[in-house]
Amino acid sequence: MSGKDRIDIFPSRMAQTIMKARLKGAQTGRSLLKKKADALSMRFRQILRKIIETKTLMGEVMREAAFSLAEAKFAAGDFSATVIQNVNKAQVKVRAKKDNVAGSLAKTFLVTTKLADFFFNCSPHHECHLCLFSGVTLPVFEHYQEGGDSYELTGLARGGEQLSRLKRNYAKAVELLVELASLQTSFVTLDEAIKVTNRRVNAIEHVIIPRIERTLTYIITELDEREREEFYRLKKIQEKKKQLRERTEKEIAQRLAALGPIAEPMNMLNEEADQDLLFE
Amino acid sequence: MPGRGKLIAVIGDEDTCTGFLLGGVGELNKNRKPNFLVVEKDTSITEIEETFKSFLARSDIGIILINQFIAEMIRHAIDAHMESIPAVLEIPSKEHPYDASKDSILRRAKGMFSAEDFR
Repeated sequence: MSGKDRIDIFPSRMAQTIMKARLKGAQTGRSLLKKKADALSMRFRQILRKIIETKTLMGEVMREAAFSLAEAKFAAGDFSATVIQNVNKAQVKVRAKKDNVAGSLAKTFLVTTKLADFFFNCSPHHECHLCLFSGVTLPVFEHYQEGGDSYELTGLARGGEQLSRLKRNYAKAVELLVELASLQTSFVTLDEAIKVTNRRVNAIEHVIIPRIERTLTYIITELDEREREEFYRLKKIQEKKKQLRERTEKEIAQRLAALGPIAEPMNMLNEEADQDLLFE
Repeated sequence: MPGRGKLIAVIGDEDTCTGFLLGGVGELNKNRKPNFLVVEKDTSITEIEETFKSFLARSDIGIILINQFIAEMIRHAIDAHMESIPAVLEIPSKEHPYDASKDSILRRAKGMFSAEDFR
């Protein structure tokens, strides 16, 4: 890729200072972004581990719930058809919260490391809705109950106890699954965020900074060359002046020799013949 | 910014659906369309895929629970879903216990997997 260009700018001392400042800024920006990416990846790995744990736990919970379903079927007969027909309104719903970061961008970056420490020790998601993390909004699911139980009368004939146990088991499973869903969504969001941040870090490191450095070297070389030109010109002028001076001295010495042994400087008062004035 | 309550959709075999409906997640919306699909042995893959896509398109569904063996059938549709909401969760069924290596979410983090071990 022939991206080997530099920023077009007139080489001057001020331009040099500006470029230096910009280089400093780019380097600081890059290191900050790298820190952010590192913090995000750490959090990412934490979440991944938690997800694996929760999923295995969920596998067990589901197995238990399925077992109690079989029990209930045995006791109460086949109620699946009735259940499916009697669907009306959902009792359990979820709310998706997106938590935003407050405050200015600069503050966020400065607080990143402190925040990171704080949130590494905080248990993920289901309790704290403060799931902000260095400028990334993470969605969180919270589940809530609404309305009455539409299946209250289902097990009335027989198997009521098994059925209520079954309902409780599945309600517990639902809670666990909601938590798992929160983890998963933040996992996906974090994944994206990490990719974006890494892309930006690489861009700064491999494109922006080299470009600025190239501009800086260009300015410096131009300035040096100009100085050298000036110097050379000065030297040349001095030489010429010296030559001129030598020549005039030689001439004066010659004239002095021609005039005679003693030569007085010219006296204006002695001169008789003044040149006539133009008007007669 | 909290949204209005979102539903939990279920795509599973009869037992899974019954269980979750008893848990209270089932609902029929205004057009009498349910937020769950009971998958039997003769349900076609296209139908499953259609329902999945329609669930994705509905804005009132926050989570989609799907049995893992059904997820295998429409794996390509699930992998194509990149947004964070609705969240797609794979759950085991009675015959097929949970297999983490088939989970599409975990597969995305394949690179990190070598460092993790399943506990």
